[in-house]
Amino acid sequence: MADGEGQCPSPVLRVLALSKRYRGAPLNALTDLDLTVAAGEIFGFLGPNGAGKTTAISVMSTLLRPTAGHVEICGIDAFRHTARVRRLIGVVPQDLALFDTLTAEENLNYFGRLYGLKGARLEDAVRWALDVTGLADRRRDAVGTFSGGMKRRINLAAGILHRPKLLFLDEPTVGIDAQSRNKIMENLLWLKDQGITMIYTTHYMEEVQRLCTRLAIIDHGVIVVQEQTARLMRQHPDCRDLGELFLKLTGRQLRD
Amino acid sequence: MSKWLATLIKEWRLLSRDRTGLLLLFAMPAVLVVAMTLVQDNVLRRSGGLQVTGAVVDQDGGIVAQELVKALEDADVVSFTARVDGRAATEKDAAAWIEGGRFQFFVVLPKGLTTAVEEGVRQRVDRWMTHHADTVSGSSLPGPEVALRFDPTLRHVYRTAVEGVVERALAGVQTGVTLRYLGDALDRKVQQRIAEMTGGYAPQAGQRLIPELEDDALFHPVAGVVANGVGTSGKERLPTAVQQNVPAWALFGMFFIVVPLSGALIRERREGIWARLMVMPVSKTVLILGKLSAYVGVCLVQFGCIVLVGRWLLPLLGTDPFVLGDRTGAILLVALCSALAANGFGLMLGVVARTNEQAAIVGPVCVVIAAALGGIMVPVFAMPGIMQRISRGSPLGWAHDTFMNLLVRDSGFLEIWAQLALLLLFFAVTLAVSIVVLRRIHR
Repeated sequence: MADGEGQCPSPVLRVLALSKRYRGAPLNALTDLDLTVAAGEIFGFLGPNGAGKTTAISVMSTLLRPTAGHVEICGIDAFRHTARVRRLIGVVPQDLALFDTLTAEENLNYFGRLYGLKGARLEDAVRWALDVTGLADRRRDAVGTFSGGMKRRINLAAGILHRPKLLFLDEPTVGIDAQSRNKIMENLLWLKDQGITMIYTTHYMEEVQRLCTRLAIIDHGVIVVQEQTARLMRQHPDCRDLGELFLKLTGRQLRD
Repeated sequence: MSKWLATLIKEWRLLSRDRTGLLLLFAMPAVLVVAMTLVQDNVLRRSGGLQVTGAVVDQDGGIVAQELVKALEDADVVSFTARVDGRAATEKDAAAWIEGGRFQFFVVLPKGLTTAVEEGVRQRVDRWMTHHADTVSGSSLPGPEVALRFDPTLRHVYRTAVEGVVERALAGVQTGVTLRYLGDALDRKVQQRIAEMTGGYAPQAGQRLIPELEDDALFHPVAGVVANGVGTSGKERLPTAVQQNVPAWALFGMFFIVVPLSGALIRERREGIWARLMVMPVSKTVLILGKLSAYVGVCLVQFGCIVLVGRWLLPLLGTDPFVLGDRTGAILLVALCSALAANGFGLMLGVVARTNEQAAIVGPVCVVIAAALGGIMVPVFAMPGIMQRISRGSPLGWAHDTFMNLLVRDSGFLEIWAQLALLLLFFAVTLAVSIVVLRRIHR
């Protein structure tokens, strides 16, 4: 058991036989997903468009309820004790889920209060998140005036503000330049060193090779492979890089 | 509490930076209330007790015509003027003045009127004195008639009022003439009978046995009529344009909260903010209550602003001031219930609509229709029967009727609780629908 302040027993995330079918849909979006993520890991979650990555992240982060299966975070049942689990997790969504007309500081203050932070703790948390993402000098500017890269960084800041035990990142670097991506990569590696466990989805294979110690590839809602990144590459010597391996495992046909 | 307050403050910050939203919420109802009140002020004044003005063209100049002119000029409800710009009005002048908009009607007292009235009355009284009264009622007296000419645009209600005043004045003058003739005839008749009975008695010259009859029978009646509106304390106020329009357009503006509220909700859903909030340790109820509190607060500020416009700005533009009366608490309660109903609808629209465009069209159209049905633009009693029945389903109608009960009919809580309950029920239903739909979105 753990709370927001205490230690989180390993594994941080345990997913058992997780299935999800949307109302009215003929097929499952996820089928029998099993996953275990240890403390301090950055776990890569890869798959083509429509494979079920965002659905999996949504269910694991308690946004959606599963049709079947079990999700445990820091040993706590995510759907029996949802409020407790939500204090332990952070989510960096694919959308820039921020209020454009509020300043960076106002956005973070608001989200911080929803995590139960107040007073000096809230001020410290906001300052820390802005420092980590390199936005301290723009804290009084409206988010709507930010560049794409800065918006991605403030999106990350909103997810890590309360120093979660487990951070879900859904394509956090989509649509930004190499410099901003590099900055975010550095931020994530630093957060890993701080003990934050991460579930990371992306279409950029070089990011996975740089960040992720383990990965799972999902297709049609089913995990195709789950392995340590380096070991997986050794198992497929015919593939020069992770990109080739990904295409080998999921096929070359278009998905959308 | 802290999360609710944080949400409330966040919403106020967002609204305070939304210039278009602020214009829609504050400038639009303020402009509407000023414009509509000034436009309607004259109309309601005229139908509510102030005067329609007309000229009197006296072509006769006799005693009957002079008495008629005086009676007309003394009338309260309608204003008559026999001398315009220092001279007697002619029929040609009066027609020109109507065309120019100076007067709305004129009355022509035709040449020979005095002679005709006096002759007609004399004949009638003589018949009475010679026991032929039963033949009078069916007879018609020939002669010139008083003519009324109206501005073609003058509404029927004003024409009826003018006709009523002229007919009453004419009847009063004829009654006066009749009483004078009757008094003289009776005196002669009595003296004649006494002479017959006493064998030649004759009173002194100028001595009357029957006194002259006063001519105030019609203008100073013994029994009168007192008209009052229905109310609990009898402190009725005229339904002036200000008393009608200030609450009406304040309500209209308050219900336009559906546009920014639904827009904010849809934007939060489409931009992933709602999904982010849903994985935070905060309940939907707290988020919705925070949002609703902020927007209900804005509605109450809106209402206060429109009341201030009615109280301070409109009088500067020549209207009566808006009068809240001594039921301020009840009026605030109605404003609160109306704000809740408006926000409930905005919330439901924001949850049910898929795009901002849908909400931006459906919301205002629904509000305008509900306003039209609810008597904001045209009084409900002036609508056809079927529309009056449909109007009973308009939340704006419930709220407006409650305001009218308090502000004009001077009703108490017993007369308004049913409409307040309807507003709260509407809020509860829309809130319940919103929560059910929100729950289904993330299943």
